[in-house]
Amino acid sequence: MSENDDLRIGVYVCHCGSNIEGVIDTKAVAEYASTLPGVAWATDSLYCCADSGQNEIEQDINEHNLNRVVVAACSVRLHEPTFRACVSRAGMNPFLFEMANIREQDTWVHSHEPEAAQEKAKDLIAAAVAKARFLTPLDMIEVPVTKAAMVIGGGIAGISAALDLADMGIKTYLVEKEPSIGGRMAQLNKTFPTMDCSI
Amino acid sequence: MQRLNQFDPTFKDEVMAEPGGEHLLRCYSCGTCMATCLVRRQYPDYNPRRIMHMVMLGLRDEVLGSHVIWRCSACDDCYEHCPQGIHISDLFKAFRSIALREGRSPPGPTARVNERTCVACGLCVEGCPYDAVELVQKRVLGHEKTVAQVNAALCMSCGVCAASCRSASIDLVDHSDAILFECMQQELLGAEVAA
Amino acid sequence: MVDASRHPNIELLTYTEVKRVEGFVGNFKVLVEQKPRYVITDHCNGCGDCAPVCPIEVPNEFEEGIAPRKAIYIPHSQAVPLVYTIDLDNCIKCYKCVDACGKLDAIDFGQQPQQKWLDVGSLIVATGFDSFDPSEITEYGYGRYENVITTLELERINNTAGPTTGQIMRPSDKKMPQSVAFIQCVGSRDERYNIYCSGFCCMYTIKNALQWKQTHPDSDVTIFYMDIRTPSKGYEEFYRRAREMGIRFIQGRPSIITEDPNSGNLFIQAEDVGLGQVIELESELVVLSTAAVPRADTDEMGSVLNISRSPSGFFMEYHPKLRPVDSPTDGIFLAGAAQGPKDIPASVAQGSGAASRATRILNSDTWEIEPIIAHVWEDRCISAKGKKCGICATKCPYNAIIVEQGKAAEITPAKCHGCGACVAECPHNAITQLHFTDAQIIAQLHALLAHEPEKKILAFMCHWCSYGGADNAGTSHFEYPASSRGIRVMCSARMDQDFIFEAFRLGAGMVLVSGCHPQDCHYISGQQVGAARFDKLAKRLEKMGISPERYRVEWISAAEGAKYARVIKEMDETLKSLDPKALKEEIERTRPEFERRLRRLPEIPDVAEALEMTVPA
Repeated sequence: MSENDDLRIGVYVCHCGSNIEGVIDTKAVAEYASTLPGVAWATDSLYCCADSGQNEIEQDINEHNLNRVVVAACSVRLHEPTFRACVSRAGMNPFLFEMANIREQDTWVHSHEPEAAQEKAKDLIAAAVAKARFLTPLDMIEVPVTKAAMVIGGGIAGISAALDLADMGIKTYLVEKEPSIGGRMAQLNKTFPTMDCSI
Repeated sequence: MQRLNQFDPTFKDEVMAEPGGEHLLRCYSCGTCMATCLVRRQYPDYNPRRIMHMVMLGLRDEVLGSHVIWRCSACDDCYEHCPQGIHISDLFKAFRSIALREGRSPPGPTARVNERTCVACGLCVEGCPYDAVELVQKRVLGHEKTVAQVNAALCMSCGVCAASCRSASIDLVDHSDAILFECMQQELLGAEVAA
Repeated sequence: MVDASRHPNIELLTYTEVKRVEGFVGNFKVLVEQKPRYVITDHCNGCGDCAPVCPIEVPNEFEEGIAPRKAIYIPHSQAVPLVYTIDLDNCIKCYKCVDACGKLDAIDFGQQPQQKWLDVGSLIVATGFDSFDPSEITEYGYGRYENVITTLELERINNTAGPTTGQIMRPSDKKMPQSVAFIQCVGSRDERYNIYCSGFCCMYTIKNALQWKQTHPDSDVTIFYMDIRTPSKGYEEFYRRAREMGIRFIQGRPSIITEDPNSGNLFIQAEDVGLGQVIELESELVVLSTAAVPRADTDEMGSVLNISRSPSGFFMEYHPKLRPVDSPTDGIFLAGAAQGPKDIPASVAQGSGAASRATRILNSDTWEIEPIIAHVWEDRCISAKGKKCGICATKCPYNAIIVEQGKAAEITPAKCHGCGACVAECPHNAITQLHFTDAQIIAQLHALLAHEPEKKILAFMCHWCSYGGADNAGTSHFEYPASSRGIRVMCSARMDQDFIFEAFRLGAGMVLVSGCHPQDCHYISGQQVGAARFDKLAKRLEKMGISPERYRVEWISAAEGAKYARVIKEMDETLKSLDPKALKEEIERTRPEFERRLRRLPEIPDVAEALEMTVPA
């Protein structure tokens, strides 16, 4: 989207209980976010990922006609799928969502310099908002699935996985490096805590 | 350095065969007993956890010859807190029983009975909080007689028996009525002099 | 074991190794190689007539080397499949086995390794663990004193199916020892070897001690431990049972073991913490509870599968709490001790968990993957104008780009994994990556460097490793200075030279380029494409007048939070040590050259707008 006039970005600054709020002033950061170009709505939230937090985002998307959402909270590796699903429920394309990591990469590592952590949070949110301005809706790619599995290693974990897969009707290759399966467990005499035999 | 092989591995079995000793091996040395113990406050060298560990290792002489096994006052505060439910005062009774059987004697005073004057009224038996006194048939000065008898392994030297005896036939070694009276007199005299 | 071999849906591939894995979730292609057994599986009926005639004897690995096997062998009598194998390294080719086999005609010395590709939708990695080699701990004398053995050796000695038919005997005199001492935490909880707790050793030692005491109640059984750990169901009760049976537990880690050469007995010295004294115990046998360690081939396997290792060396899960069964690669799951030391119940549970996670994918007809693939602007591609180029195709790790002169380069979406190597390498800026476009990344750069750029470290991070490493620093609360500002892309291959130029043009104090270690790269060779670029760039930047200490390249795995924190700390120290005036001068002096080199940047769609963006203070 290139016309700024059409942009309506919503920014949510998560407290994560005291994980973020304990180091920086999320209200002040949200206020800063509201001054960023394209931002139509900015607020702080106790737990963005909680039911209440997600409901709020969904409601705001409709109430404030948001067309981009930025959540400043934890790592994308943790909650990006959560919030993508959240904005989808409100009818927004999930790829119009962006995250700023102000927990793992900010408050959790800069607790001894809260002011600098606050400046960093503002920058990270400004960057996420800047990226959000240029996001475009995308569709997931559907790929076919081969109905077969491979288990590498024929010890107790591998055998257990292979049997479960096979019982669920899935063709399973059980690959073992040694001449026979059983692994370490086959070497054991009795096993704890039931003292029964291992084979 | 202590050589573990020189210890007596059968000692723990001996303790466990004694009434009260059954649960010795449940102990995993958490130290709750030691932290709870009131006696420990008076006697810093008293450590029930360590004694149980010594029994398990088989340090027979060190345990039986030690004055600390006589220290337990059987208040059972530790029993209430022991996460393994070990009745530690019972265990200590077991240690003492073995020690007495071997001819070792308690380091402190225990109650003693004047069998000649004892009338076997049984007040002491009723009063003893530790079940340390019982009435037994005995030959005293050539006559068959029922008298009170104190089990030194159980006696905690509290003096309840001595206080309750109507014929002044039971008292504590070193704490007989006569000695106590003398002490009191001296205290009172001292007070008069000071006044 | 037998269930697995008989299940109609399971194809057992024993003596087989995984050589290569290609493809992606739902669509993996796996190259497996079956090693030659020199015995035809369909002919061999496991009768065992061949082994007795074989003249070669070598230590049997299955018996921990304490019993021999022949060169033609089965590891143990209950082996599944019950098929003999010839160990050609030790075979002298006397062919006596061929005669013994007779009409079955099962022996075939002409067998060759067989390779084949298999199509699967999902993979489960259950490669297990190795046992720590205690000879490293010289003070315990393993390997020097015959009667110091490992737990696994005891398992074999005390096993009715083992070499002694379950008669416990010690190695030196083959007599039943009257006393045994177990030593815990051998190779674990020890900074010199492995810092982690190996988890199940307490329980297996208690099991062995209990079993010993049950069969030999009069013998003297001692366990030297630091802490006894019995966290699972029924385990603490098991420990109490062991104490009540009279097994002696001594809290204290032995400092040294010496041997009486005449009796073969061992003297163990340790502090008994419960007693508060140093004690010595004479024992006829010592059993070392060795730690579970990552398998020796973990690195090799990790690079075949594109999954990385935790600091402990075991395979790393996607998330330690929320996704403990998933590997970081979609469609690949972890089970058992390959992910970390685990006992049998936990291994079985994780095996089932992995099967269920895999079935989520396998029971669907289609699976959705992120559309973050490359996209060609046909009007910008010079190949479309009839010129010779094709650089993009040479850099693609997946052969996903077709270049025909006269036509614009064409991406095959199903093959593209979205590393961004082609995007960054295209000299004409004709390719972009969806969701990681040039405009998006430049917009981020501008926002991060809008104010006081000279005081900041601009850090490019790859999604899989260095961004994970930064997260790991966070979850571990490793503090580092707040001067860094990160930009995440999927792979270091996407980190365009122009981005780094733009960062310096904007006056960034420092630039960090970080990604996976080469063996951890999620895009086969994406990291190498990036690394080659960053190498050249270092020289180029220096020529352009950038002080070398302002540009740094680091490979940081998702487990290396400590390293991430250290790198930023060092860079921050360097930045603070620079003379601010000289730095400002350098920035001003070098800016025109960057501007010259970046003059065509605004031609890329949306980039002009990103360049003009302003950010309030």
